[in-house]
Amino acid sequence: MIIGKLTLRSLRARWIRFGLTSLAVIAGVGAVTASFVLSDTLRKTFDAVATNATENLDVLVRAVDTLESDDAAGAARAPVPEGLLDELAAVDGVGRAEGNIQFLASITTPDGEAVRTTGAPILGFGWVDRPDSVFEITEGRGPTAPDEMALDENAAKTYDIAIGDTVTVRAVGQEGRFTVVGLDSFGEGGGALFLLFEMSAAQQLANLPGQYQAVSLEAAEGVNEVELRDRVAAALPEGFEAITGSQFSQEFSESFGQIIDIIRTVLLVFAFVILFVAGFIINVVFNTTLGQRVRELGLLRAIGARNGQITRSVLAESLLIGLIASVIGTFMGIVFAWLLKALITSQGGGFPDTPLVLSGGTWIVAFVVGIGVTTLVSLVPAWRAGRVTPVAAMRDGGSLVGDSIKARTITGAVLAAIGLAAFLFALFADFDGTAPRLTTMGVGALLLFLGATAVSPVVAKPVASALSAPFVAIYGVTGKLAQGNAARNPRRTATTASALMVGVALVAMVGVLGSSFKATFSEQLKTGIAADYFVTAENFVGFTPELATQLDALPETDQVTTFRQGSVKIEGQTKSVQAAQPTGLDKVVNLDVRAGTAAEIPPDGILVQDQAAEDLGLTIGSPLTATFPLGERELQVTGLFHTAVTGSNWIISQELFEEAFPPDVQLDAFGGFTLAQGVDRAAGEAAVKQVTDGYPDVKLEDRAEFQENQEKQIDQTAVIIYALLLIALVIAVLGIFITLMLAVYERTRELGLLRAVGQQRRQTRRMIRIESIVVSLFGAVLGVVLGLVFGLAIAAALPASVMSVIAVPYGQLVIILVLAAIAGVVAGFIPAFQASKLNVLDAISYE
Amino acid sequence: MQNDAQHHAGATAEAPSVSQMAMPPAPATVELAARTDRAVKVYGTGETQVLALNEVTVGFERGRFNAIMGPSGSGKSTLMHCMAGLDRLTAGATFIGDVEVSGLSEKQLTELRRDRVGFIFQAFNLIPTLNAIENITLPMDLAGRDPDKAWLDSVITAVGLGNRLKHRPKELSGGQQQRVAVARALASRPEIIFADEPTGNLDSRSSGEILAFMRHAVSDLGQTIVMVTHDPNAASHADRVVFLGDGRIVHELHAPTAETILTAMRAIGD
Repeated sequence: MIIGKLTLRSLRARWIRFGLTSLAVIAGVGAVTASFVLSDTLRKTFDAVATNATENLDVLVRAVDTLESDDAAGAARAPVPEGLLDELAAVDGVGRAEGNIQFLASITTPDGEAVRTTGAPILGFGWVDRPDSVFEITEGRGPTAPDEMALDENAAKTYDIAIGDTVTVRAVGQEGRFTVVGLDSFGEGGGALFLLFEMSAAQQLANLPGQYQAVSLEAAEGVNEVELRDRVAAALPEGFEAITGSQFSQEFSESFGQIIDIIRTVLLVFAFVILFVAGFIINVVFNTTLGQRVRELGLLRAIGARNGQITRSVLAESLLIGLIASVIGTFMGIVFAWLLKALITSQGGGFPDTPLVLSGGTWIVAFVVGIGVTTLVSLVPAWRAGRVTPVAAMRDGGSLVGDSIKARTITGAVLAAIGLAAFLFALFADFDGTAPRLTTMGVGALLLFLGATAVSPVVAKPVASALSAPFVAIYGVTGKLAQGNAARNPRRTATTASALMVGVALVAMVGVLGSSFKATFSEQLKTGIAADYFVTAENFVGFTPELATQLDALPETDQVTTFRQGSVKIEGQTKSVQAAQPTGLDKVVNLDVRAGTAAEIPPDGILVQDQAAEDLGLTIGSPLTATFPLGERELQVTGLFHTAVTGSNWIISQELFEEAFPPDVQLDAFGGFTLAQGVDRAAGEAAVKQVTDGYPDVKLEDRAEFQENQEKQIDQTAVIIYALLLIALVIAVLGIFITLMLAVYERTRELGLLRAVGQQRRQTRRMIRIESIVVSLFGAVLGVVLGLVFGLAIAAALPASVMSVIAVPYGQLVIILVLAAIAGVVAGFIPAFQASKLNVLDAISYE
Repeated sequence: MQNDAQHHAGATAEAPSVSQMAMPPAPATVELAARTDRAVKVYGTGETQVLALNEVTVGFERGRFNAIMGPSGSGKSTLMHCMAGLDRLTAGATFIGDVEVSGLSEKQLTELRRDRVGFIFQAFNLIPTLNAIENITLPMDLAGRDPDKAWLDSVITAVGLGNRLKHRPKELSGGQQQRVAVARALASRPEIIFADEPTGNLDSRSSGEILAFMRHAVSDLGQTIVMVTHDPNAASHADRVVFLGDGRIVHELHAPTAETILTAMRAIGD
């Protein structure tokens, strides 16, 4: 009872500190909540889309996936012959049967202008006129003749195309001119454009004349989907399968589920970092404030409070903080999620307008995490508070009993050693799958952080002194006072700095990896790539083979090599494979061939990266059986190369790709070419540009632009990671702020004395700011050291094809330190102001 | 003297130059290190209003050891705080030398305390992160001035801290800490040193030592000290004792002894 009252009183008396402590927990809980809310919402959205898209689908018939890939919805499959549609329509219980055709297209307006999107694809469909179609004809009519089409109303509006106009459409199969007879709408398409064609025209465009990608069946009245599936399955020839609409819907959402899981995991990792940092702050605040209350605690003990009662009172306080922070944090999380959603939508991400999903599970996780972390980190301070003796009430300037620095250092060193070992083990040992490797890495990093924190008080004094040395030199006694303050409580300085260390370490690690990636890329471009120009698909799918043909036909170009990508099963394992033109690969890239040749790829030949070949026991000339979407092929290893410049360990010829993959996936993902000897650069470029201008979703880059854009992508990824780490960094800076506020309060008399004997307000402020900068720099230095360890270890562990050059971004590390110093100034701003406006008289008579 | 006061009081509305004539015994030949002119200090407002200083006019001569005594709440600490530039008057004026303290800005007040005033407090006199010598030179270091080496040496020798100069305050006894504080107050050779119960926390032996140092500083080094105390023994080391009661000067003793002080205190009703 009475202990409860004390808890409440102590909270009320220190509500500012309470609020600041809570802020750290709130941010952590908020981040956790946001990750769950966002992923749950995404999942629900895609489930809804899947359900909607398969609304009238009872059974889907398609070719079996020979590769048995994880992503059933996205697998490349053999087409379904048109004849099968009639057979299926005749199966008892089938109400309606229709063929499906979908393909990637590009359009040119009547004026010859290419239609562009913000990066979303332009998709063509075979149109079946029925009232419940997912497409709505908003104006005119649907296409009924092979030279007619319906155009997306958004494209019509943007490019001022009217019904009756003729446009040019190009797809994997062919190029054709179509008359727009109507406008259509799909609703929320995320920026994608949808074109509708008469079925035979669609088949031609998709390179599937007389074939479909799949057949959708609707059951007759009184037949359920399972029943229908079984009947249809019985009638199907070898190589085809029938699945229910529900199963297809599930496959569809699962293919998004993987992405959603990745998003959630990434967000949770950052949420965890935030909570970890928040834990440091809460711990240091509890230790400090309890230290300031030693006399009060001693008095309580003197008048009869038991150890346990005091410990419980402190724990109750932390429990209450955890509880309140969890409630607020959960709501903050919803706000975070809403903001992220708005951000994605504003970037043209087309996040459908579904309400945010806050499940019961999210609440539970948020509360367990919020209360758990707060209580966990206050256990030790609470126990120490209970150990305060009644005599402490009588003594001036008492403090909590601390663990011995020696024991702490030994424990810390052991933790750090185990952590480093786990981290390195995770990097270099063989693991079955990525998840356990990442988990081991994470645990290793965690232990290393904790170990470093435990050890850091030992170095806090010398490092803080060293970091203050320049300030002592410049500002004399003001610097010296700041130096003394930063070093006087090594444990507190170390813990506060450690919070910053965590965030800075991750930033430095990403910096090291980013710059190494760039250096590796630059090196590979220099030694591994001979192409003068590059073409890349900007729609994430590919461009039609026509482009390569047209470029090759130009007299200005010499070797044009483009790459198609797909999956293949070798020795029971799914590998990603690339296909290039049968000859001339060596003129565009230098694969560092170790055996055989890359100059020519026979139709049954395959080039293999030497390490990958060794893993499967393959050498030059080895036969190997590969399963492609269109069946098994016997291949022979005709080349072994060392550097996977193109990003794949397995390269086949385009001839084989055309035979082994369905006709509708014959799209090039990227390519490179060289100009013919003696061709003027400007003239060559102009000729090439004339061709690529007809392909709006293809990006043409020269070597410099290519490198620049690749580096930009690496930078952008790093920036996203930095942005996510920003919250953790802000909390760490907030921690420095809180600790300084508490220190200013703690040193009231001392500050009063300084002012009484002639310290100017300006000097007081400077003194606090320097302390803040030194603590901040201390954390940043620790972080940069750990970040270098992490980054260099990971860089060393990555295969040479991914990272062959390790580059330390010295400039960036210096910037980190400069920013840390600035953060110190910011964190110290209010405490410095607070200290300088102290009333001298009150301060020196302060008890 | 009078002209000086008028000149410096010019900033304040009420600069009663006439009152200068009514100054306590201050032969024209003796300079005043600090003085007040009808100093008024009111705390609080309305019902809870307290008149801590009620038109106090007093002067302290250079080169003398002064004590201010009086019962709790008599205004002795308030008087000292206002004279030292730690607190501001409600009305009237205080001077350090010929500078009117009440007319100074916050920054100037700080400079005044730093350069022209020395302080010795009852407790918590030293900065724990600085060692003894750093504490002693603190005001000069804050000012960015080099200490007068010869003077500093003589001060350090006088307080007898020679071998403990590199010690941190927590490595020093209470008496040693107060000695460092006295040395700091003396080190910048201020115009006046204010001491607020400097021996309040010390045992009688350390107390005696500190008071002897203060006496020495005045008699042999020519310093001026104003000490607030309620200890008749401490006050007996002074040349002059001023008694305060209810915010007014009620009595004064020259060349006091513990007995005369006790008698005076009894008469005032402390």
